Amino acid sequence: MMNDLAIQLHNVSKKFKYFGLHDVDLSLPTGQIMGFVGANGAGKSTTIRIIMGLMQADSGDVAVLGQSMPKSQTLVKQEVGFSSEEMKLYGSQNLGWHIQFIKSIYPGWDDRYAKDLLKRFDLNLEQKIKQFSKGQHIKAQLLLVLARKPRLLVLDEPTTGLDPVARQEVNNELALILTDEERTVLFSSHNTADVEKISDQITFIDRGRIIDSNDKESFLENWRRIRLELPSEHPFIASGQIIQVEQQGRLAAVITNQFTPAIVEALQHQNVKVHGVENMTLEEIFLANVQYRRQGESL
Amino acid sequence: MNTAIIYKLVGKDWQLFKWYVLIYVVLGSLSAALMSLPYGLAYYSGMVALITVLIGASAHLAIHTVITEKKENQLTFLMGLPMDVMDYTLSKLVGNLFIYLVCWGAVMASTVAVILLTDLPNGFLPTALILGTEILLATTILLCIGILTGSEAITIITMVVLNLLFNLFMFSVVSLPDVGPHIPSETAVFNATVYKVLAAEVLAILALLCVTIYIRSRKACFF
Repeated sequence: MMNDLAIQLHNVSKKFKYFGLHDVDLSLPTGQIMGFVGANGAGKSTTIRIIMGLMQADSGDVAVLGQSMPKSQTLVKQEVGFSSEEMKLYGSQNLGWHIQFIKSIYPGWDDRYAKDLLKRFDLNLEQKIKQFSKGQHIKAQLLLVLARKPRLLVLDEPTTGLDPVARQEVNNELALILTDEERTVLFSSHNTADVEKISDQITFIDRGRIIDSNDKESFLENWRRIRLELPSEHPFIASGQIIQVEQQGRLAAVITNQFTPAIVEALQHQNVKVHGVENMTLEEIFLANVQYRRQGESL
Repeated sequence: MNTAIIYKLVGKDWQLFKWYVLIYVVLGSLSAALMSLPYGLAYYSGMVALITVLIGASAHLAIHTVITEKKENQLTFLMGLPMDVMDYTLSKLVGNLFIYLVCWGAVMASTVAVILLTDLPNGFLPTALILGTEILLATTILLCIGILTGSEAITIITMVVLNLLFNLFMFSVVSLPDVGPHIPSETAVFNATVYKVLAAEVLAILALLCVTIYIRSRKACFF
């Protein structure tokens, strides 16, 4: 159902001279937080620009909050909070000036919430933006976006370029804010640790293609690394649900993306000793996924 | 078209540029006053300063509110607001011309006052208006080029070319038989040639605005 989806991209393509988005399908149900993960240059920002109506796709359909984009961008952006890493506020003005500007545009601006965020983010209304650190700048942007109470929040790499302390501060605040309210969020990053903390749904993009999309729990449950001791030093061939093998002599570590106990039993039937089944971090899952897809195989 | 957001964007640009407008108005008025002093050097220095102030304000405005906004990614901040490319284009065209007209209007008013109220010959008035309107036309060209290309390099090159053309234009106007000979006269002579040149300049400004709006209306997105 169209209205249950905050974002829906169907067969979206966009071609540039040296890069292209290919048949991107993406669905974000209302009320969900989606982490959009990809390496630098994978197509995250292009996809987000298309979602926001800032760039027109060559083909395919884009609907945001039930409205076609970019046709209805003016209407849709009334309900969407957009923040990106490259976005900059006016350095010669202070945060108070920016708040007045944004407040005059969005009738739903929540003064109490803005004050609360100001306190939580430890920001000074009178301080000029050019005197802000990068972390403060990003927090100021988030404040300007959140206090307008958007139905959909689109954050393009909000923590990129921050030092670890500032990144943790922004992440903590973001996690707190997102659990506070029922909002739909699309959050892009190349930092899987950030995404793992906040997201319900995760979509991986690589070289302009969506390579995988699922809820976080499914990713973490389905992807496992199994440590093996093989009966001989003959190369162990990946097959079935095993998608990657690293072997040194008789010792091997295999990765599966559809883990079930039956895989372990099947290995044991082949006279393979199973030393352990390990959970994988989202970063490991992402890297294995990208590597596998780049080998031209389909999961 | 979202007129409310256009109004807000124009207000924002005004707030960002209003102190510069004040500075240019003061400098322009002082330059005009300098022209009225009874020394040849003061007259020529005042005239050069007056032209420099008007052209400087024009370049400053176009670069500050259009090019720098894009270069420093403040445009990305604006793109997230409820507007489309046309709203943004209109805000820049209307807003910047309005801001420049405040500055230009005040400086031109000072110049007219200085011509009429001092010993400067009133016959200089039509030429001053023609040259002032040419600077307004050049400002419109610069703005339109800045908005359409978003390129700092192209905007600066345009500015340089327009400055060179201004000198050529100035000499051409002064050498017009219906304009030049009347400059030293005691009364301002507004003949058909003066009106034709002024009308051509105003029409060119309007045509430029229409062409820019038309080109941008064909663009659905910012990128």
